[in-house]
Amino acid sequence: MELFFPSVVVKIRREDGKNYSYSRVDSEGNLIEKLIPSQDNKITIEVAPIRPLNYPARRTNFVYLKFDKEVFLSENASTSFLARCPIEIGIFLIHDSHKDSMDWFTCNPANSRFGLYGSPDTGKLCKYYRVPIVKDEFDSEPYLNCVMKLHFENLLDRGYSITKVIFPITDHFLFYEGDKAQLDSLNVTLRKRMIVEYVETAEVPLKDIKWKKSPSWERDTETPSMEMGLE
Amino acid sequence: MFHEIFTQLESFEIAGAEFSLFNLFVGAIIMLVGFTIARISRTLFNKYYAPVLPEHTAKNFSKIIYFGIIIIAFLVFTTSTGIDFSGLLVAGGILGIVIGFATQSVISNLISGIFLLIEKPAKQGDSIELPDSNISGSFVDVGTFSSRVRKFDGTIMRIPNEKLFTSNIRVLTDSPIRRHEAKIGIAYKEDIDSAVEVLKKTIMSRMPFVLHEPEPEFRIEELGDSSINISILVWHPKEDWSKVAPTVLKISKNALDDAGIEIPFPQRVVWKGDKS
Repeated sequence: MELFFPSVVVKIRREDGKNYSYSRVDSEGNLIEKLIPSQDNKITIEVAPIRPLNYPARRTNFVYLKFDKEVFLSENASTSFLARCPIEIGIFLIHDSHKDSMDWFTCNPANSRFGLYGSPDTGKLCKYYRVPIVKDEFDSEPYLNCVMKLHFENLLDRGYSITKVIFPITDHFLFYEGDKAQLDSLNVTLRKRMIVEYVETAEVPLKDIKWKKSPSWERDTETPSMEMGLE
Repeated sequence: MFHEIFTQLESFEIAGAEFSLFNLFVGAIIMLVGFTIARISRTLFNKYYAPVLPEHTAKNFSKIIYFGIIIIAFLVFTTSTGIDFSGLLVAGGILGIVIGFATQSVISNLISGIFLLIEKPAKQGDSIELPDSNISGSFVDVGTFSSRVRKFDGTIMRIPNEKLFTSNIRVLTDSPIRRHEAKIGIAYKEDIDSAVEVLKKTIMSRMPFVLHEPEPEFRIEELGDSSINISILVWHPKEDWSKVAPTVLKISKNALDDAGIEIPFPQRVVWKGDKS
């Protein structure tokens, strides 16, 4: 069996007896090979989108999405829009209702970079992506990105230009149907306590979605909300 | 019966302080019990509590528990046996001065070790650099008299606590990111903006560990004898120095070569004079 992704080819072959071989060639020509011993002459594999935290190395739980255009939110106003969020592809071996992560890769390594939110001494290291704002939830590119809904509410007494959002993506789950994917929504509230202006973010699970939930491979963190200063 | 035997034994004096064999026997038992309790407490702490604490905190607590119990046992020994050390101290004054001079560095290292544990200039596993001593490596631990640093070549360097305490310590991994700086020169005939654009584009596309926010920075460092020298400043995650620093110059040179931008080297033009 051969699976063709943008710039990545995955091959799974049956070797002698109960053994299977797995190989992957990425855009730079790097070859990954694995041997998969099976219990009963067959293996079940799930290919699913996963959160974009692993390439080039796992260093953070946070994602920094920089929008291609600013969204201006006047005082006491709220708005919702959709934005693309990159994904990686996970290969899972299913046995006895367990899903073991066998391999992962990104189909767009050139767009998978790090960025810092805040100052070099106290800032937060994030995976950094420049993303476009899109019109509907099916507007994702196959194997490259998903769509997420962002709801912004400005409770401040002045307008703000929104250019980016930083959040712990390990609190969010991915859902997929065919080659389309969606991420749990995010609520962002701009608040003021005393004289300090800050941002509060909270994930909103997609409840009524009929799409299949991706296996959550990375270790989850329990962060119901976080507070950050405004720039 | 044993009590009678021991009390009947003759007492003796050391440096003005009176001891008996019974006192020494009781003292030995107290110290033995103290050492045993200290060891058991340290083992229990290391087994049940240390795994949930940061490594450096766990080791420091372990030492405090162990030596704290031994000190308490010693105090119990001195008070229960009625040994009066004031006489010993007075009589041993001169001896004390001699020993004091002899053990000055030992005491200094011990006290510096305690201050290092309190101040915590670096955590275990941090990459540190001592610029004065030209030592850099991974900080291992603070011991009773010396600290250990695992150098990047894998060897262990023992540093007296006093020296470490009074040294400038540069912690390389305290911040989430680090900046690396490299320098490259281009010929005077080349366009600076084009060269910077080539370097920026190549570094951002070919070096996955270089941060895109903040972006790489390029500064014209100087107009040198043979070249315009450009400083390349790139940020990377603190763990990934080895994936950025050794390759940034190679990638920059290849990028300039591919773009046909000359990297000059010192040249001397010799003009031959004409007699006429």
